[in-house]
Parts: sequence; structure tokens; C-alpha cells
Amino acid sequence: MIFTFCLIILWNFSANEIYQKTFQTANEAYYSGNFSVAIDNYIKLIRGGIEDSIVFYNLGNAFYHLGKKGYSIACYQYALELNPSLSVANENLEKVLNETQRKLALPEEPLWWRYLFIFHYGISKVSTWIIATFFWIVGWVTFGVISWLPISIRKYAIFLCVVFVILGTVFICSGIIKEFPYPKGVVVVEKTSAHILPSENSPSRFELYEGDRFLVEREESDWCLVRSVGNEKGWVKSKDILIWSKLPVYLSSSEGIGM
Amino acid sequence: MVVDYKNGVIEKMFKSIVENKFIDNVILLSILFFMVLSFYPSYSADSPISVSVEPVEVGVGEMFEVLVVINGSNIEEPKFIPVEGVRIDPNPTYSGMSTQVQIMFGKTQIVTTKERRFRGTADKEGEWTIQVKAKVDGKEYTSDPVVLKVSKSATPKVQPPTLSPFQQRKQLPRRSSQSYSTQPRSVSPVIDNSLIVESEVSKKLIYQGEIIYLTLRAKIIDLSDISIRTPTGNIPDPPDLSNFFVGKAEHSTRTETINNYPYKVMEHKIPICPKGVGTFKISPWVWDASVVYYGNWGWPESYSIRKETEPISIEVRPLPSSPPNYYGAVGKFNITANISGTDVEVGTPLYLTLTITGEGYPEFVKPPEIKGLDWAYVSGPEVQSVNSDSWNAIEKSFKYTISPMKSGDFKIDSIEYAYFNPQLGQYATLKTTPFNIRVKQSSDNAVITAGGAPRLETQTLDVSKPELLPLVTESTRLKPSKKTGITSKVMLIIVPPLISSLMFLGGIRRQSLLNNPALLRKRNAYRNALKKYEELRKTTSTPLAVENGLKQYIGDMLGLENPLGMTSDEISDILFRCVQNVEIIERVRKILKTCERLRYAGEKETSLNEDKGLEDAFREVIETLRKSIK
Repeated sequence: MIFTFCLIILWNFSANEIYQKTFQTANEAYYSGNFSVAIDNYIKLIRGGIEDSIVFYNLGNAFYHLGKKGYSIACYQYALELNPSLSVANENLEKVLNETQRKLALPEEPLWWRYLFIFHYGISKVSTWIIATFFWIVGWVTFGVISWLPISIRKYAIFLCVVFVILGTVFICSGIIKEFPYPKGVVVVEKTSAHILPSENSPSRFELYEGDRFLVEREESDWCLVRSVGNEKGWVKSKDILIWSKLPVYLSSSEGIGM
Repeated sequence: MVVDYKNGVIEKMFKSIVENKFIDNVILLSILFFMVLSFYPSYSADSPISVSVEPVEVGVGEMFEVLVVINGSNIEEPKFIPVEGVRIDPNPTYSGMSTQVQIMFGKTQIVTTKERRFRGTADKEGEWTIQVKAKVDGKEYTSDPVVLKVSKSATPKVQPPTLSPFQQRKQLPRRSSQSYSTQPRSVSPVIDNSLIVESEVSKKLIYQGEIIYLTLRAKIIDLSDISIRTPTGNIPDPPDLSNFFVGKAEHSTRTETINNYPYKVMEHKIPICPKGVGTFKISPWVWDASVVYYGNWGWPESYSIRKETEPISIEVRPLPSSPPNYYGAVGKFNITANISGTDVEVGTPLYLTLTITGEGYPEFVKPPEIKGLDWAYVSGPEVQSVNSDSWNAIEKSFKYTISPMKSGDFKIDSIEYAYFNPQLGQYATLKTTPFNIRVKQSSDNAVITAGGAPRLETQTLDVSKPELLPLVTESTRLKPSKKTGITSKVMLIIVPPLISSLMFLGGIRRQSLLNNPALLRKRNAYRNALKKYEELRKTTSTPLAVENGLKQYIGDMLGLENPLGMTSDEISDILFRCVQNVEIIERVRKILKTCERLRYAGEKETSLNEDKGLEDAFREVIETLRKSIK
């Protein structure tokens, strides 16, 4: 038993060492200007199950210097989803967006929605679930003990219970929203056309350029129905875009990024 | 004759008074009263004729209505003073008369008001004065002039601004009194054909992105005694065109003769472009209208009619495989190219403007790509669209900014722009003229300023390697993330309320027991009885322990006060009232009697066998009682 425990500890330690080494190798390659090697190493970490905002931020930097602004934007966006308080990612994202052809803003949720969930924009998904769990459990425990408490203090317990359960519900809603977000994507090729129908022969409705961000409303085999900031809709080839919520899956896939 | 009649009435009245017919008297007196009043001097005003025109502004060829109101006693039919630019039908579309009795300064006056409505048509542009002449009480009067403005456009400008041009039709006249009927009588064939509605498309088998024209036509009979009204007073909305891009409609009005009847034909030509491929249906254009017919007496009669066009099916075919320089344009186009200069310095921007004109859906006309300019930085284009509402003559300009980055003689090759011509069913390619550009060396070679778009005009394109973005090199969480599954999150949401609810119910139960001692006694009866039995057995004797234990149990279960002080008979009596099982009562009584006997016998020590027997009997009975007493 102890042996197994020690073995697990040792294995974990050595695995962590490997990850740290890969991370360092990637960073060194980046500083030596070997961006492709840096990207390969960061992707290795992601394939190993590392989902760290810093890895994605560094990967975004490497993509940027390789001239792949679309990928770089996707990486920064994903890093910010993991850790909304990562200010350097926000700064670099701004910088890269400024260098895109049209500096298109990301389509936002309706105003009423943003006001309703005003609190949840700066909190990461994990933190949201932790807060939700805390309020939810405390709220229900308070509810459970209400009937065991002296009558004189029950009203305070009921008040606390209601407050905690409401807070818990609100954060659970926030967590669910973050768990199933509207897929957002970015163009990773120099230019692509948004067609009226998911067909090459269909006339194009508008053009999208590298780094343009949009909401993905529907995905169909090789095509995605996208909505840009002006509520313009059109079908874009899936290979021309990258949905950043799927970035780890995409980077971990056998195809990866062809470089 | 009148006198005779009057005399006859008076004679009749006197006769009826004599015969004492009260109701007849009242009627006859009323008639007499009005007849006598008619001999008083008639009312006469300074301006007995008033004229109004509705609407006050119309287009050429459009109709208007003139309302003439004349006050007086003896009024002749009004006549219009001829005007050059308008035609007014002398036969009124409506005739009405009302009489009022006025008592002023002790003098009674009868005022008769004649109302006539006439329909007119505007023939010429301009401002025309309409005046009416009429003889009132033997004197000829002329009305104040009323100005009718006739504009060139067929669309009247007096409509509310919120109405679309499509809806801006002449408001039909409103009348104060009318009768309604849904059954046309002798005039039914005319009424049935008073409105003819048609719709058609220029083509039914089309290509994706091709524009066609939907024509909606309403033919309204142009007779003075028939008018068509819709519930809103406007032309009904066009059919649902949500599957199409819709352009600006063209409106026209003309007259036509059908079956010897004049008709006013309103036509709306709407350019449409399908949004997809397949079969699309244009729903019918529905007119729910009422036909107002003015009969011989001038009273309007209204008939409801419903007219609708046939639905139209349009087959939209996909485009064939596109050539390399195809950017989505469908229609018929021309292209021209212009350049701002041909002799420039490095870094000084040139502006290449491509103008595409023609017929087609403007949104599909996309800018072409400028290729092969390795000597310059190309930005843009800035897009300018002219006449984008009328799809038959669009003009779209694309202005590219070309910033030369090196000196030398260069050429902007002919730009190819392919479009799909649906008439021919194939792609056609347009070509611009090539331009030769001479770029001279500028004084500053290190930095090149890109011109064109506002953002780029101030931006410096640095050719040197950009500075590296800073990395974050320390990360403490470099271990595979453990993803929490949906199941665990659902459990997290469901489990706490369940556990808390159980806790809450437990608390409620506890509270209810605390508030009800009898129930608490009952719940703890078995435990207390055994406890008492064990205590007494250790300290005193088994019979006393059995007796008290049993009495305690029965007392707790049935809520008896001081059960230990009761005799075995009293306990049995109480049990008889609560327990159906007579056998168990008898056994309880026997055990208690035995215990009492042993206690009263004063035996200090009982035999082990007796103790064992009593203990077994106690346990058996108490278990049986547990089942019997609920």
C-alpha cells in the first residue's frame, strides 16, 4: 500500500519534471527565435493534458511571431477564458487585433444579458464552480439545520439560507453558461468568404480576414454558419476558422496545425 | 293645392278632436306646426356655399373629391366654374339633405342643408382653384375659392410620412352614413369586377443570385358611383418575401379599359433576389376590401370582397462551377479602372479605383483581389456604392491604396473580374486596362509609409524584426487538469438539497415530538418499559419488575396517568377498550395477577424457574402488545 502510494508520488513528481522541462525548452526556443520548435513544445504540453492559461498565452506569442495572427488570437482568447485576470494576454490580444485588417470587435451578448451576468465576466470557469459549490452547500446546510435551531434564531438562519441559495443558484447559472458557451471563432487564413449557403458555388455575402472574430451559430461537416459583429451571417469553410473553445482538442488532434 | 291640403288637414283635425282621437290629434298637430312654420321667412346666410377638397394635393391622373355644402331654404343644384387642369363629374356621387329648426331671438327659422359630393380627376400639374355657383333662395352665390395642388408625381404628399411609398395611396373618402350589405344585387357583375388583382414574376426558373421582378397589379374600376376601400385605407402589404432580398419598388399608375369600363391600374414592380437554392413560393397578394356603391338615391351601399393572386413558385438553380476570378457577382456588369498617377516616389500612395456598373444584386458585387504587386503594399479597398437600391443600374467603386516599396518601372496588370450572366447561363470575365507605373527613389529609404485607409496612413511599416513579446516563464500549475464531468456537477446541484431536506424533516419530527409529550411517551414506551424492568429486576424482585415494566409500557402506550398505581383489573378494563385481541388481554391480566399474588404473598425469594417464566412471559406479552397497540 505504502509502496503503491510512494510509486504514485514518484510518478507524479517525474511527470511534473517532464512538463517543466518541456515548458522551459519551449521558452528557450522562443527566445532564440525558433518559434516552430517553441510551438511544438507548447503543443506537447497541451497534448499531455496541461490546460494552463500561461501555456496558451506563450503559444499565442509564438504564433504571433510566426505570422499566424488568427491562431495567436485564438490562443490569447482561450488563455483569457481559463484565466480572465491574465492581463498580459489581454494586452497582447489588443495588440494583435490592432494589426488585423479590420480590427473587428467580437459579437457580444445582448445588453440585458451582460447586465444580468455582470459579475461573471471576470471570473474563470473553475473559480465560478468553486464559488457556486460553496454558496450552494452552505445554503442547503443552513436550510437543513433550520429545524434543529432554537426558534429565536431561525429567522436569521432562513435569511442566510435564502441568500446563500440564491447566490449559489446565480453562480451555478454562471457556471453552466461558461460550461456551454456560444462557440466563438477566428479566421486563421488570410481571407475567406462567407457564403449564403454552405457551398463553394453559393455567392459570397461578405469577406472575413485573418483575425476577424465571430460567433459560430451552426456547424455542419465542413462548414460553419458564422455571425459577425454587424449581425451579418454566412457560411464559412471550417478549415479557414478556429473555434477557440475547441483549441486544446484541435491542437491535440493528429492533424494539428500544419506548419 | 297646398291650401286644400292644409284645409283638409285642419278639417280632419277638428273632426278628430270632436271624435276625441288623441294620438291622431298629436300627429296632425305636428304636421300642422311644420306646415305653418314653412310660411315664415327662410334663413339666409352671407356665405351659404362651402366647398372643401379632399385631398388638397394629388398627382396627375389621380382622383379627388369635392364636398359642397349649401345652406338655405330654396336651393338649386350647384354648378362648378370650369377649370383648365381638373375635370369634375357634374353628377354627384352622394346627395344628402337635412333640415333644422332654429329659434333665435324669438324667431323660428328652418335651415335646410344640402350636401353634395363630386368626384374629379386632375389632368394637369399646377394649382387650380375650384369654385361652385348655386342659386339659394332666388339669389346666385359663388363659393370661396378652394385651391387644389396637382403635382407631377402620382404619389400624393399629404399622406402621413410613416407610410411606405407602397402604402401611400389616395385615402378613400369617408362618409358619415352608409348601409352595409354583403349580398350584391343587380350591380353584382360590376362589383365583382370592380377590383382585379394580379401578380407575376419576370422569370420563374432562375439562377442563384439572379434578380427578377415581381409585379403586383391592382386594377380598380374608375366609376363615379363605385369606390373601393380597404380596412386600413391603404394598399394591402405585398406578399411574404422573406426568402428573397428585396430592392426598391417602382410604382406607376395608368388607366385601362376592360369590358368597356374604365379602370385605374396601379402597378408595383419589386426587384427580388433569392436567398438560397431550391423552390421558393411567393404567397398570394390578398385584398380584403369593401366596394362602396352609390345607388340612385345617393346612399352608399357597401359590399365586402376578397381578391387574391395566385401563389407563384420560383425554381432557383445553383450556379455552375466558378472560374478562378469569380467573387460572387450575378447579373450583367461592366468594369472600368482608374489610377491616380503613374509616376510616383517610393512610399507615396497611388489610388487604383475599379468601378463596376450594371444590373444585379449589389451585395454580391465584391472587390477583386489585386495580385502580383510584390513591389508595393496594397491596402483597402474602400467601397463606395451608388444607386444600390435600384438594382437595375448599380455602381460600385473599389478604391485600393498602393504604396510602392521599391523604385523601378512596374506594371499593374489587367485585373480580371468574372461574373455569372444568368441570361446566358455562363460566366463572363471582364478585364481592366493595365497601367505602367514608374516609381522613383525617395529621400528616406528605411521606413515606408503606407497610405490609404486612415489607420494605415499614420502607421509605419517597420521592415526590421519586431521585438519579441514577453513570455510568462513560471507556471505553477503544470500538471494535467482533472476535468470534472457533467455528472459530478449535476450531483453537486442535486445532492445538497436532498440531504438538507432530510435533515430539515428530521428537525421537524424532533420538534413535533418535543411539542407532544404523549407521542414522545408512546414512541419511547418499549425502551422505557425494558429499562424499568431491568432496573427493578436488579434492585428488587422479578415479579415487581415484570409488573411495573408491563404497567409502564401499557401506561406509556395508552397515555395513562400513574399506571403503576393501577390494579391488574383496572389495566385489563382499559385494555379491553383499546385492544381487540382478548387473548392477549387475558394473558396480561394473568401475568399481572401472578405478580400481584407473589407480591402480596410476601415471598422474599422466588424460584429461578418462576423468574424465568415471568421474564419470558413479560417479553412475549410486551412484543405482542407492541403489535396490538398502535
